[in-house]
Amino acid sequence: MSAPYNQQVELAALLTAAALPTDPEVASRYTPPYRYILGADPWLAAGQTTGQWVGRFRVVCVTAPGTTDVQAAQLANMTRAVILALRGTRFAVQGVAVTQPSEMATGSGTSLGASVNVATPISRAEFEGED
Amino acid sequence: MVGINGRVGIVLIDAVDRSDEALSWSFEGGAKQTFAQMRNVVPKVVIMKIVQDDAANTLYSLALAANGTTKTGVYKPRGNAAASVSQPHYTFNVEPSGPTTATIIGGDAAEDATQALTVDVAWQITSWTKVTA
Repeated sequence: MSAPYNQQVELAALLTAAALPTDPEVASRYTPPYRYILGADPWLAAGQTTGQWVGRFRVVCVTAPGTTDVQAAQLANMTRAVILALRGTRFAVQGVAVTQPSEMATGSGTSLGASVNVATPISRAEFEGED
Repeated sequence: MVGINGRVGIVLIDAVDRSDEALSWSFEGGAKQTFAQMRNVVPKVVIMKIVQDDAANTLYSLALAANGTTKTGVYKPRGNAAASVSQPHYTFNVEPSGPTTATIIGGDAAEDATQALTVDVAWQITSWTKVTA
């Protein structure tokens, strides 16, 4: 695997290890609440230093179906938990931290979803050494 | 002809690729007072903007140590592995010293947390050799 997908998988593993089960991409079946990761735009960009890259991701959080107030509270809890779990790791929450919530149709009904915007520097050695 | 650009160059100092630690590097002639110095195009100082990273043996740690220990360096302007006549490398010795900016550690909060805080350094170069093979 190559960057930035390697780092996307690493991000999912890190969140899962922090008791926040997360898939590195969209799975075929889900039972809400759940989390998965999408590449952001740009997925990969030139970084701050001369040799560095930056991988950007969206951690999508989807609540269980329920009333609007319960879903909103659950969504805030889910996105906050992701932000707290990433403190002190290589993954940095971006200035636009959490996107506007939106309704998402899931197999169990209508859920509320939002994305946590995350990025990580990828070193030249890391980028060129992966395959 | 392909000119040198700022993304592919590699600087090794103390045998470590510093591509992920420096935002810029500029090899400059320094102050010139005599005619001989004016004719001299050999760099005397490397000015760099470097990331604040206090792990062992980073450029920043070398700057903070500022103990006068000379380090070896290699500049590969095009990032090519082997030096050639058309794509030369430059070897040098450098004496790390402290930040030239008022800031020694710290800085502004940034919206993008992938942007590390930085300091500027100007390190004396004590030898400079062009390598073509």
